[in-house]
Amino acid sequence: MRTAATEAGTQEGFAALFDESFETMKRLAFLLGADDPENIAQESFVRLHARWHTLAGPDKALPYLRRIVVNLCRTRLRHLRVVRRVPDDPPAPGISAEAEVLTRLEHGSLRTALAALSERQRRVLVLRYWLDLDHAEIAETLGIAVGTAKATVHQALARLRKVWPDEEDTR
Amino acid sequence: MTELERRLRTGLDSLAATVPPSENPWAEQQRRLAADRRPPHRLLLAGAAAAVVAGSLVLVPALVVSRPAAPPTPPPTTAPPSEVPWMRVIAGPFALGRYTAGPVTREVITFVKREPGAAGWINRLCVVSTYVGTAEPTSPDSFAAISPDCVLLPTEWPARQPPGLVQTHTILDGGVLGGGPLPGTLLFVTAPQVAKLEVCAGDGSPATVKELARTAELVLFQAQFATSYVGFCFTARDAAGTVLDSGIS
Repeated sequence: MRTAATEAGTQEGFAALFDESFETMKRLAFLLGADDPENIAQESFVRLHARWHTLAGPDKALPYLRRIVVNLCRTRLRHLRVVRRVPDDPPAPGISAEAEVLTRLEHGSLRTALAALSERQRRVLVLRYWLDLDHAEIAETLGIAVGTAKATVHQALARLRKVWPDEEDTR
Repeated sequence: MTELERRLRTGLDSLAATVPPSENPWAEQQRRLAADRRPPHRLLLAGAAAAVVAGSLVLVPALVVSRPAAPPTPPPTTAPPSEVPWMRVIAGPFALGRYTAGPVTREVITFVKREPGAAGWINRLCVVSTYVGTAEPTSPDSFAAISPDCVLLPTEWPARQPPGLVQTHTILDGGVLGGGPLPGTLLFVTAPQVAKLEVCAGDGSPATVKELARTAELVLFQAQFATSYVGFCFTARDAAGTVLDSGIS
């Protein structure tokens, strides 16, 4: 039975997780290629909130949240492919046009390289090297076997090595 | 860690840092959670209600809703004249499709009506089922009998954007997701600055979107899906192509 105390605890726990993880989830959505990362992060928390009482424990909230973000990005990307649009870089308010151009150039090669990977390869690399998840956590997030996660990371790095040459080598 | 892994880590960190922090995202989350408490689905607002139309008489109850005072705006001259002095149809009626219930064929139509509220004019989106034929049967079918109400539309859209500039309305589904006589049809009401609406089905395929009406306060779109609207997503853009709002159900 849910009491007022457990309800208050739930709200506190949800608010704390939102505070800690909203920006991270938004950036995760961005790195996964979504063009509306803010909306995806917000929607992910709404869905997490709806399932909060069904989670086996508070430690399950963050993995579940990551999974929602990944799944919503997958749906969004499917839509973007349909309407044939490539997500743009987000606006960088407060910096000069010159600085913005330099920033875009700096990130351009990585964005191009990530775009050359399969969606799953991109996901595992972002989860492994940006969120610092281990293979078991990646597997849990993507709903795949640990062995598959490990193999996909390996394949993704091999592919990245080909499509993202070191700038030193290209000069 | 290899050199490639180090570069990748640094590059992703740098790329992620380009995303500016949100301004008070918790307030937006609270707004969404409040909206989520309305069944059956967050994106699907209260199902567009049904009213049985007999002949040319539209049976619509006069509901009183509080909202900030707004000067009454005369309806467009193109709108059909209303038989009821306190109510005007400002958009439509538009035929959405037909369905058969037993021996009876009905046509589903939609329109937007304006009526006085407690402190100004309010707009409502109505979906009604009309009998096709000359002799109205004595007992309406299940879709036609769901509800005699219409859905209140915003007259002031949120200033902060995105999101919040798009509302979706199902067709006579009685609160059942994907139900109703026209499960492949969905209505969208957007803020007037929305110039283009893109809608996709759950499998990613594009839905056919038709702009039914545009007024100073809202735009009414009809989205037609191959089978069902369940799992749909949308993107609303302004005239310059900038994304104003988007969502995934």
